[in-house]
Amino acid sequence: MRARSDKVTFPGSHGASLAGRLELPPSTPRGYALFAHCFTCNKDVAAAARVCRALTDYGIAVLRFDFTGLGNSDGDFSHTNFSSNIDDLTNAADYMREHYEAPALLIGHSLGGAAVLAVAHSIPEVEAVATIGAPADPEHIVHLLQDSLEEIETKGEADVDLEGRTFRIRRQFLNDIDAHPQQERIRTLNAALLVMHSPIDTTVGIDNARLIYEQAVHPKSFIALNGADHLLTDREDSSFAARMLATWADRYAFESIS
Amino acid sequence: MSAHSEKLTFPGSHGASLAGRLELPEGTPRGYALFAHCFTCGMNVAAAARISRALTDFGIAVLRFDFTGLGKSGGDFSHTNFSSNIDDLEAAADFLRDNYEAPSLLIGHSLGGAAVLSVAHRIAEVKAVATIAAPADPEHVTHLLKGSREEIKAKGEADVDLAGRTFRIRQQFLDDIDEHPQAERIANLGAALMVMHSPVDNIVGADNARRIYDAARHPKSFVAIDGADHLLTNAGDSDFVAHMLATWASRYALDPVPEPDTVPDPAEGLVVVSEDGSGSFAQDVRVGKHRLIADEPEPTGTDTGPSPYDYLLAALGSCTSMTVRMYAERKKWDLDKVTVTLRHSRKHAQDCADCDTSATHMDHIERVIRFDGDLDDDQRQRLLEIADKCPVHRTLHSDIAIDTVVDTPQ
Repeated sequence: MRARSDKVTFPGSHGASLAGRLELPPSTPRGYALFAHCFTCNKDVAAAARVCRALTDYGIAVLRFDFTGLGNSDGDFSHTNFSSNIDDLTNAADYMREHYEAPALLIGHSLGGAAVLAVAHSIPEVEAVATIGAPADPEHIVHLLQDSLEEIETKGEADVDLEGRTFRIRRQFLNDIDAHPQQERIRTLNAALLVMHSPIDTTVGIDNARLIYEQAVHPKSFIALNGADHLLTDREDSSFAARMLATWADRYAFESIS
Repeated sequence: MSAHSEKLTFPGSHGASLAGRLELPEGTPRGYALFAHCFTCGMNVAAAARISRALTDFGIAVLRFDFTGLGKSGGDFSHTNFSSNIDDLEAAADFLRDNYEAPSLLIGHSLGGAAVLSVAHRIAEVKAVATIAAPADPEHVTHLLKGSREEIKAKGEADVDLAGRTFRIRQQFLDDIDEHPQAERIANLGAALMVMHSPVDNIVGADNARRIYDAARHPKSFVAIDGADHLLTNAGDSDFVAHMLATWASRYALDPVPEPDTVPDPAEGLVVVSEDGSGSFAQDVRVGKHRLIADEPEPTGTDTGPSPYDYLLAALGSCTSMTVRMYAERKKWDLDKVTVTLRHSRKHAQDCADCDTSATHMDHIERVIRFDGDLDDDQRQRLLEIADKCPVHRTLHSDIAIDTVVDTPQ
């Protein structure tokens, strides 16, 4: 038997159809995980695809998907925000519960990490949450918009260049991202936590990992992804992150299953 | 289970013979580790034995041994102290270096964790240090002596019950353990650090892990062993520790392991191309036992390998060179070297005087062949004609039938 992957679609927070890919291990999965991609990224960025595929080597099935308005998902990105990311994740978990099995493990990369910390309490089956290069507060993302903030404030929206592509950001996005009690959510996270971060991350500084870690209660762990960049461009880095994650999740997310 | 293990002895810090066991993996070890056991424990305490053996599954060779005066090692325990533990570890590393390979990974459990933090700077090859349930300061161990401390002070020594056995502790032990600049050693570790601790450890509290972690510099990691007791009595706990440790050490201390290639080689004559899973254009190209990569240049692709047209030119060029070589050999001509340089372009029909209306003729391949050697003009001309006879050249000029069917996934 070989690993396979299923293309799936399910309705997102705004009703738009979201495109996902479920990576399945060769035999019956030991458990299911849900992966949240980085801001304005999509499910097929190298870090997401590689981490998800590598997890299948450990018997873990992983769903990753494009948030509303990104990649192959429908909807208008400019009407989405951090809250809709969270809702998209809830919908993804609902879809998994209905068609496969609810996720016991949530994994989020960068802003996706903040999103999985925020959504964990609304998915009762979640046993463990892992973040990779995540900001301590979703509001951190506003730094990326620095040059356009004034235009967004005055005109209500602006076209912002991010990683070589243009995204329309509206004022509602900024209003929404301020309103999240992230510290409180991390403190009351009722799941084991694994924080992974590169000490030399220049996009989201390592201090964010320390803040997440300090706010959380045990059991919590931290793994340094030394030398990695924010997007885990180097294959070695995403492979290392996946192997640590799978080994850790063995105890904290899937123990009762094995 | 380890592939095999060797009993061995080597001289310790006090000159006494120390008893050790080296667990070896199957095949060449990816690296060597040295394991330091807990205070008044021995190398065969469950956590030490189990973790050492589990690490061999990851290709790691592990030496553990009894500190002077403990287990099967010679010497008098009552004359040992934290400094002699450190010296014993250095002696063990020297022994490994002389007879096998110096350790790149140090692992210490409880007070053994404090000892590996202390000895790391004295073993040049160490790249990574892992502590399990270690105290932030070795002095922490004096808590275990409780009421006996007064007796030791008054009489110079006392017999202390520890975990059901009696050990003689002398004043020199207490004098020594106060003197170690542990925080400074941790700050100047010069190696990657992994701190593992149970949040519910009631012998060495989890706060010790926090202090070690805070004192250290990056790269440092912390793994909670939730629910475990101090001695990792539960086999599941020591297995978890070993698995996390080995996976972490793969990055920080060990030689890389070649990615297991579980996909069988394609049958002879078959070329199998599949996406490499990176989500970009990159392709794995498998030809017999050979592995190639195809990609597109940036920004379309990630430029991890030649493009499909590059391969087409490579096919024509290599075929051309081989064909010319075969002909020259047969003729016994003095051809030293053939070099073929190719370029592919697409010309629009209106720019292309040679073109007829067929779309296939819009493709243009320039081929420059250099013949080094003692050849006359006729020979060069003949070789040029032979170049056109290369099989790939003929294939490209022929009507090629490409039959495509769908292979339905199982």
